Amino acid sequence: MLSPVEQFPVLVVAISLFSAFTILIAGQLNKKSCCFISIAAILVQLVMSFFILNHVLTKGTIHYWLGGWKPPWGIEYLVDVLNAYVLVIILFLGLLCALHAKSSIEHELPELSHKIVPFYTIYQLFIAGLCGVTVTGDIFNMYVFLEILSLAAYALVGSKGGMALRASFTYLVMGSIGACFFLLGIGFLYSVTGSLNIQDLSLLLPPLYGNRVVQAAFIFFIVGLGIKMAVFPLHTWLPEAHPAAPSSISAMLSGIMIMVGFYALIRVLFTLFPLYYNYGLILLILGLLSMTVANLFAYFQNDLKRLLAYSSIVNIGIIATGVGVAAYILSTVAEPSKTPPEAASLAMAGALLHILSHGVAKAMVFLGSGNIHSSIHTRELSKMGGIGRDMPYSGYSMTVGLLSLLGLPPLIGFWSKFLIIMSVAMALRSVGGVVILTTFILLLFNVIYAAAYYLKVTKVLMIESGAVRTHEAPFPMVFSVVVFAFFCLIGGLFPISLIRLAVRASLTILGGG
Amino acid sequence: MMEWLIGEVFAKYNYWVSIVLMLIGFYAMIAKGNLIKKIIGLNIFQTAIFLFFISLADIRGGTEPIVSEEIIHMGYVYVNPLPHVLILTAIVVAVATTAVALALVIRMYEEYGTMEEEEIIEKEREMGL
Repeated sequence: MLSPVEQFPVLVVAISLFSAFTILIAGQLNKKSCCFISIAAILVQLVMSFFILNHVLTKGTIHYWLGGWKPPWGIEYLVDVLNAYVLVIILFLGLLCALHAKSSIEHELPELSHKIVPFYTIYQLFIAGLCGVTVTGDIFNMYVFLEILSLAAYALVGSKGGMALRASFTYLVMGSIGACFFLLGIGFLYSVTGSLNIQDLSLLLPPLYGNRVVQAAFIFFIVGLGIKMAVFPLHTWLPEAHPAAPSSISAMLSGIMIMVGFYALIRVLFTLFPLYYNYGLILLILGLLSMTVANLFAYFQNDLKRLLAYSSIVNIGIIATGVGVAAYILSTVAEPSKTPPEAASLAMAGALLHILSHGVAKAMVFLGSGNIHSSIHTRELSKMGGIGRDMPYSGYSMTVGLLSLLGLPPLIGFWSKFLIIMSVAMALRSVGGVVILTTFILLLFNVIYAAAYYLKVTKVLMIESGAVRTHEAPFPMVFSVVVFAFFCLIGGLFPISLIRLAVRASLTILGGG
Repeated sequence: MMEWLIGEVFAKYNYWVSIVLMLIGFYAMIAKGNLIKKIIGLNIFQTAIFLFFISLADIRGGTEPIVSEEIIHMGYVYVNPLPHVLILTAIVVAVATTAVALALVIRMYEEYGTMEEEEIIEKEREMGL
């Protein structure tokens, strides 16, 4: 008999699917009810996700078999510390973005206010997709949820009309290619093993690692999910699509959606493929390229949301580098022991903590840009001089967010970047070699270079002058931004429990937890 | 040469067809300027993957996968039903993708009066966006 908490993984997905269609019906009767149903549903899911996290930390992994069918045949929902951790981040961001959307849809996009019912329906499906990708332990199920998530995202990006339509279409074409590659990879693995369950595959695959079909599947997974998470050569859709969306949606897209793509990649690579495929090196190269190239572009943007979108590519690069370093260190260890080397688990923990710190800070800055847009109807930095003084709550919160993205202590962004750089420095002593040295230099260069444009935006918002006089945004919009700012500050002041959680999550994926 | 052709190409022609279709679809998605043609390319690409999956499942002379004692005793082989089910789901996903893409194209046509990507970009520039 399953305990109630063990049933929560499936309920988390079911609630958002169910509420999506409840909204569609209830919205016909009363349009105001949509956002309340959405917020209430996500709040319930958030509470459930905390219970799940607590359960996996104290009692171990949750296995839920859909319909009672045992794993190799049925679909299994498998939640360990890593899933639960990502799930909490998704729902935390989802809740505050839904709250922000309540007013921002009316203020930022008056033309969209009559479409509020479909907006919240699709938003709820989007959340269902995000949760589904994280809780599932079945690789085909993961593909389906990835597509639910992406389809909802295409619709939400295009919801503004005009320029957003073409951005959304480009995103759709790119995203579908990525999904098709992912599906092809699944087909290859299925053709040699006859199984779709990730745990089962990880037992069946090792004798077949020399097989070319498995190697081709490996490449297809990297390219397919690389498009979804926008690493450098495959990133071209992101700077178009993310700024075009309404700001509460941009916050979700940049804050968590690309990270969920990345989560899927980590899960697939680390559980299914051996270290001698050198995905550590591949991720390192992709990560370093993404951050260097995107950093160079980001500085010259005048559109605030476009600058932030490039900054998201930089941050996905930082996370890819962290994970890449972890895998690279593991692959250099001659004898696989029970516990991974300290530097590897620290690098992974840093990358996972960066998912949280970047998610919170980037979501907040995007929401803040929405607040500004709702007041003065522009996204151009040159027209925002000193706007933070007229909108003190949004302005100061955005400053906190930007400084956290920059990595200034005592904010949470500092700790995640610190862990990654620290672990690379440790690897420099224990592993050494050209790869780690290059990583170290490029990582330091990029982290420092990124300060240039974060400080530029802060300066424009708080110090310069020139914007038209305006007033603060309405309460729900300010509230969600301020909550994020407090989270950055408190998470940064008391980081120990968060770091411990990230280390636990990294050990579950690296083995030896 | 002839043996290679018979063994690798003619005997496994379904896989080759799926690869060729995949490339045709991929080319259409990248090279065509017309948005509807891009969507058609996407559909060809997806169909190629469906063909690949169905090819995996089929066995020459296999019966339908309704397994009973009798069938197993008589030594019948049956085709694998799982890829068919997977593709049923993937077809639904493909239909949904096509629907969203067509909806976007309709909205773009209403707004710009054209379905050529280059003309749309030009009009956006004229509007000073």
